[in-house]
Amino acid sequence: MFRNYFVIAFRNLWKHRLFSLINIFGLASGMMVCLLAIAHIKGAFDYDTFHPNRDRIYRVLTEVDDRRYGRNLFATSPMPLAETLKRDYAFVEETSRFVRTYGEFSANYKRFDLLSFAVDPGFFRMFGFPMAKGRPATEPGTAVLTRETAERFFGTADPIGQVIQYGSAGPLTVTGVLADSPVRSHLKFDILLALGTPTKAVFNGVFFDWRQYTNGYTYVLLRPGIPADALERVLPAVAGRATRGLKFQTERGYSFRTQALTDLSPAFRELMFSTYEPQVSGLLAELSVGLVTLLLAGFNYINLTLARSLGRAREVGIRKVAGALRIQVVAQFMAESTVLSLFALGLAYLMLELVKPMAFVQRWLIGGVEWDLTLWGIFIAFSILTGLLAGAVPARVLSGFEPAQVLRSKMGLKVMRGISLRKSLVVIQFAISIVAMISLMSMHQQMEYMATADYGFRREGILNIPVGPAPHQRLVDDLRQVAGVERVSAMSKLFGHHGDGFGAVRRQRTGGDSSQAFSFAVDPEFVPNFSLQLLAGRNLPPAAADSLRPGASGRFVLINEEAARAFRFPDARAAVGQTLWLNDSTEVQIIGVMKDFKFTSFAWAIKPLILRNRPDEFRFLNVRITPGSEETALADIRAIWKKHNPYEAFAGQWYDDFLYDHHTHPEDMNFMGLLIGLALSIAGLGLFGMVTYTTETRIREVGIRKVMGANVGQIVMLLSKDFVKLLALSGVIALPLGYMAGNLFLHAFAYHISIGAGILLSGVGVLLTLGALTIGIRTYRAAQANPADSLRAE
Amino acid sequence: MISLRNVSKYYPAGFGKIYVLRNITLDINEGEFISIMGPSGSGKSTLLHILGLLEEPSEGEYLFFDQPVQKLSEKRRTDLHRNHIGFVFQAYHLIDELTVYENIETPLLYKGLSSSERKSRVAELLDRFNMVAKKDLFPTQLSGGQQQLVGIARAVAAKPKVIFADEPTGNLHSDQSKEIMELFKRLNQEDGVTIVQVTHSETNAEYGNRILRLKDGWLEPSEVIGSQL
Repeated sequence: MFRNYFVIAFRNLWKHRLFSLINIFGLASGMMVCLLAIAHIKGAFDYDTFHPNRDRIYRVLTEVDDRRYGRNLFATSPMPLAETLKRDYAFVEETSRFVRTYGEFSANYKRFDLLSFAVDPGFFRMFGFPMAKGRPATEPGTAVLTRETAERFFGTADPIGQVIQYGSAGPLTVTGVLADSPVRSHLKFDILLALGTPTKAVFNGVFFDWRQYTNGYTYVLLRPGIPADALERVLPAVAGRATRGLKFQTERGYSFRTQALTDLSPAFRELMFSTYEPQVSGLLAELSVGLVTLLLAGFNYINLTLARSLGRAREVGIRKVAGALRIQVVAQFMAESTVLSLFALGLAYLMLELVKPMAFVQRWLIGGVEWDLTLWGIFIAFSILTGLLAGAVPARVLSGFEPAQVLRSKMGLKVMRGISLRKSLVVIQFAISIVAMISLMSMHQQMEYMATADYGFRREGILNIPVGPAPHQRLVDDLRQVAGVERVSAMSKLFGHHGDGFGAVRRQRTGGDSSQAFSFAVDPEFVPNFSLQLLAGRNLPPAAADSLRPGASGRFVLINEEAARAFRFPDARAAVGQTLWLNDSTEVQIIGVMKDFKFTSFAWAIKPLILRNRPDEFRFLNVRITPGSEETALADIRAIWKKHNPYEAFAGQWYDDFLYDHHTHPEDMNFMGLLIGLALSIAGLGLFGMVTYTTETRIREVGIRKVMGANVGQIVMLLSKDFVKLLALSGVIALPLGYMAGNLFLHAFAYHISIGAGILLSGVGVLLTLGALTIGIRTYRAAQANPADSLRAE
Repeated sequence: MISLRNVSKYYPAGFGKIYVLRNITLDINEGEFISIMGPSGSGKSTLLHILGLLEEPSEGEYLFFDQPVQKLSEKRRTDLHRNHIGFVFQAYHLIDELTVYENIETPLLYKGLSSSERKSRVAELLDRFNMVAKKDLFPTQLSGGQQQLVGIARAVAAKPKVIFADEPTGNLHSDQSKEIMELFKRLNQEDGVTIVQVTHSETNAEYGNRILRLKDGWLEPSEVIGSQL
């Protein structure tokens, strides 16, 4: 019986190759996206499976009850907790604290911003991160690098014993290099430091302060054989003892929870200060994108199968008369769709191999996922399920044919079923495609806009050169000698980035009007160099005049209009000469007020800004070059760079290019473009198939009309009218939805484009062109047919 | 074996109904060979479909082997189709995607016979109908007469008690018609299969032992062929 199902399934697919191709391609496209999502989800369950002790490792979470923010679960915990647990509870074999920092590390004449974890020696006993060479960083002042970091700093040279500088933490000796982990971990880092290292002074307090619970993580390794809840049971007492007599600012108190390492990924609950475990919500969002694509393909299957129902109806009748129960006929159709779906899986796999190298796919989706038998099992089960579901609707409709109806005499009978269902499916398909296209175009335009917009500061003809913390006066002097260089200034961080140094600034030392403000370090050349406008006051004075006393450098600040408003100065003029407290020990005087310009990401409205002259924070030189002499000046600048920094490659970049590269994400756009291309081709092919089959059933009518004198144009009109109506309807539905979807995305940006007729019309235009071509070609061919052929039958 | 009591069939049309069959009372005994005749639209096919349990009568009672069958569940009806009833159609209605062999095998599959039982039964039929050489061909590769032979082989495969044939020779030329009718006659006389056929041809009707004439949905008094009865 089963064999018979499959034999007829294969023969049917072969006989109707157009139908099979459309469906296999469509289902494969949808499946490919689903497979990516499934692989990602499966990968999420595989996180951290390489630690030999993973069943005994727990992370302590802090549940904080706060008067302002309510109850929140933090992935972090107070730093003294680790020692308390290890000291007081015998079932705790090992604990480790982690403090995460992000900052600039330098070695071997190179500087990189690295993600670091400062960890206790216990870390290396607890977790199974494999070492490629050397030994763990257990003593203060030592560090272990990942393979990638080691290569970035030292290339192929042996990094062990080398010294790395990290801000005020001082020199760190590299003791080992980690091998690449076999699978991903929720702990992501470029470098591990020994926690004993005297890092920033601000951290010293937190290691003993039970009030601070956001600075680091606590991991606990239980002794073998200890039940999982042993830790959970003692934590209330620990929290009780720790918080007794503590004075919090806004918190009512906290308690601890445990989280098993094995339950960490995927994360079902959002934690504050979480690590890098994938969130269930994100995974589900990916899967639903895949499912929507697959749904579009499923619609094609349903549509085309129903469009062919005329041919199948007779078969259903015969089978029923031969003694088939309805369920057996259903099984027949399901077998067919399952066979189709397994073919689609094959093609999906090929497509997957094609997209695998895409950067977006590797970084966000399936990098580090193990392609094992389990995954293949899931894929096959998924495609069978897809086949069964796709087959269910047509099977239901087709198996409902009554033999008396379909077998009666000749083929004159109309046995089209589910016409309105099919029409709605086509409309939905195209509407989804248009909405997706309009959204993508909005995103693209927004990115282009951010990449090319006028920020209010000069971006043309400025070359940014990243420099080290060392004094650069001699480099600056040399640069000024280059023909074509108009001006050289310095700044701490580039504008148009996310911004840096966001902190509270007050009018008075304690209390008073306060506001959050960004602060950047710039030199006096900066303001004219970037053509910034001063509304009141003067530019920053040169550093020499400013730093008569050591530490007095940067006593004057420039603020923007927004800052003047935020600090409630009546106007720009009134702000000049006033003082501000950057923290409770630094008082600065406002020397000038600048006209507002955009200096952060466009996601935010203009925020208060403070510019100070602090040469030790300068990290970029901005060289303004006369238009027309870029080529020669750049060559000279490279030569000068080489002279000053023989070991470092020249990394200068035009400001224009920086802003462009920073805001366009070609890889992400490529991937999303691919998705939409797939969606459109699914919808287009579906329409093609549907027009083909529907036209086939009207071939006789076309013949009769031609004999009566209809011309080709009239026939094309007749055949395509209904489809054009469907397309128009989907356009009407999709326009407002696409407009809303696009705006939902744009809403995240304080400065954004508005979705104009251009985007909307081009979205619909692409669809109409595609649809019209599809319909036109098919119906034109049908209209060309010789009526003698179609009318000869019988 | 088959008995209809006051069976009518009508379809609603506007406020009234259109009668296709009116008050048919009819008995068919096992082993009979019956021809139903009448002009187009007289209700022949509908009567055949009701007899074959493909349509339900609007009124009246239908006894099949003394069981009322005018309202049956799908399962019971399918059961009768599997074991007691065979169909032959004017347009042959073979499944184009299946070979001759597989077409004949189809009812046996649904009857649940084992693979070896199916093999021997199909082989027997192929042999009997002289189609062994054609068993791996597809229907479209056969002539109309050959297709109808396959159709009949399929109808008798499950050893039904009765075969309902709807203009079985309507698409065939006279030589082929004759061959098919001879085959029906043999089946009727040698195997004792009851046969009910709808036909336009008086010649074909002569093969049977009784003719039922329908006119505008009314059954006219039946005439017996020959004088055996």
